[in-house]
Amino acid sequence: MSGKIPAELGTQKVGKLLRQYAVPAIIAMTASSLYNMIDSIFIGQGVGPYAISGLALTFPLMNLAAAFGTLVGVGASTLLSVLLGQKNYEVARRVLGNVVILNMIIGSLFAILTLIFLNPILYFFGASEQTIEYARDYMVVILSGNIITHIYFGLNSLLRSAGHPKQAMVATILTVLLNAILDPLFIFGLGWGIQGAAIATVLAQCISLAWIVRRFMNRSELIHFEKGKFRLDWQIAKKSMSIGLAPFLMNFVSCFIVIFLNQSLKEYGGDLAIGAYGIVNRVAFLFLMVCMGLTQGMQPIAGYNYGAKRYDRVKEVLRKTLGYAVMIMSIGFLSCELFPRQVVSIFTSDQELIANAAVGLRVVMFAFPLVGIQVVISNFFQSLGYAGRAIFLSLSRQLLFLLPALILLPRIFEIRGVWMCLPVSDSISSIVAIILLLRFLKHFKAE
Amino acid sequence: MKTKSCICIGRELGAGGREVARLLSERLSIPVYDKELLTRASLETGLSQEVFEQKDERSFLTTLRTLFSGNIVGEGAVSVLSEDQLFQWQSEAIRTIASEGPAIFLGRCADYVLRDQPNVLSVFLTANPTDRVARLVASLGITEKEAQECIEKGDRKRASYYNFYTFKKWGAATSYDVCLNTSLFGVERVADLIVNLLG
Repeated sequence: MSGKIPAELGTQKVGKLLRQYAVPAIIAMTASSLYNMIDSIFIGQGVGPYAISGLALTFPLMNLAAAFGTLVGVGASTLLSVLLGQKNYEVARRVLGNVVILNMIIGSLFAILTLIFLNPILYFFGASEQTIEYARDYMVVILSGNIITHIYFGLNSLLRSAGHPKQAMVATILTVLLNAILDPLFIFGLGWGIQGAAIATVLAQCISLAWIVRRFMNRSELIHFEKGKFRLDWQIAKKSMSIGLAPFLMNFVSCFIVIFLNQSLKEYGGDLAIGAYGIVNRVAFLFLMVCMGLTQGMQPIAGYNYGAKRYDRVKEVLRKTLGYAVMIMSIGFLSCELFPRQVVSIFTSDQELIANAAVGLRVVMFAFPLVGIQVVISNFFQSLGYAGRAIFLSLSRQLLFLLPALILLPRIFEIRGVWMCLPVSDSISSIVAIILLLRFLKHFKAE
Repeated sequence: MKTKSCICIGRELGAGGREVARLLSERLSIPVYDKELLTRASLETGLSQEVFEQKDERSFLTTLRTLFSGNIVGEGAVSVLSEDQLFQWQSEAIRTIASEGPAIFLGRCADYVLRDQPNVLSVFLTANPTDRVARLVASLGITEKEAQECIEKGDRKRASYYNFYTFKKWGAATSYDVCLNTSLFGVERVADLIVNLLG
């Protein structure tokens, strides 16, 4: 959104604006979640229950890889929009070249280091003799393709910043579709097992990357690949990474928490509990991502009107977003509370895993309508420029209340206690968020 | 002096940049834009002026803020009130003002924003440390120690803001057309020199 401010933000009907901004964001956010879900479904149905556990073991490592991706990607795309706003195309092209080089360096270093220590890492994450082979087979392929994954995500976000958000979305959807086609082909058709899913993932990203690269090869585009622009530029690297550091740390924290969670699950419930979490996580994330997309749609509307002192409109968009968020999360809540076995059965036909996951799902989803409120409020503060509060709220749900709960509750309630940590932390952090919001709105009224 | 000429003044804290700008404004009868720029940006975007005043610099919180604007792959929309977006609008205001007639800009990377425009002179003003402290003590009514701290903080802030957005180095001779030391010449003669440079 460089250049002129869209005047409609201050004039158009709030409900219409929200739909207009939220729908593309929801599609983009859901796409990546669907991608993970499809992988899990085919692995669960085509390879087996322990394969799902193996896959769940790799979540922290995948998060960590993504974290290193954001270290360059988020910063570089911010830098690119700033440069494009100033029509500084020369340096902008250097940013493009440097994203490729930096991702190659970071992507390969990460892959080499983790491949060397893959076994100890996976055991530390909670692997057992029964699950390590699946996790290993999957990760070896994924890590071998790590450079491609990094460059794909990096260039995709640059494509968006370079003024082609639609094409960036096409690339994202392309990977989802390709993965959905290749997964059954490799797993069922060719019998490649869990490695088939990994190969499908890397191949889908490869094809999508090729499509993006072709766009950047087009010399009639303002931002395109150019000889001599690939030399590592320390200034660009430093700026990108200083912007990307915060999202990196945030992902790092969530990776750390999942490790801790997996270890507790293994201790109190064994391998299948980890697999059950793999399923629960996929379901919960689908609804969470829809909600995240919705709040992204709210951000420019709330932010602009707050800046323009149109507090009536700020409150209206907050009220509407809260309403939609609670609705979305309640759908998740109701379907998982009423039909947990049916939801879980999409991923596996193993009765023991179904039983495990159904219990977990019901407990984990228990506070979900509240999570919707929590997410909206923390994004609301963020869009108004109160980063401190937004960070505190986001950390409170994912770390501050979760960690003590994870240490305490399993000692009392065992495996149920591990599951309970999530709704407990969700509830407390939601109450904190609501208190913060009410206090803020009061001072709002005074103004 | 040609019409639509602009003078962009970068300066160290306490180097007398504002005084030089005022003298130039009197001698050439063209307006100075400092905070007035923010008023203009506020008018054009419909956002209140306070928003621009608060975001007058680039802070570590900016970086933190980006992390909630999207998920791990950075799908997020840039916040309307982000420093980067406000810098963009402030730049638009600088360009509009420059297109309307001659102007003097104080800070805000105006030299970079107008780098492709003809008839733009960029100046950087420095002063000896003792003079800078003395000037701040006199104008702000603070102690010498406070002035010292002010200068250190101010320089760091200005440098990081300038370096981030312009890809040049704040206060380095290569970044500007002219660099002058006001301790050596005094603000009056510095203003005279700049007027002479414009021809």
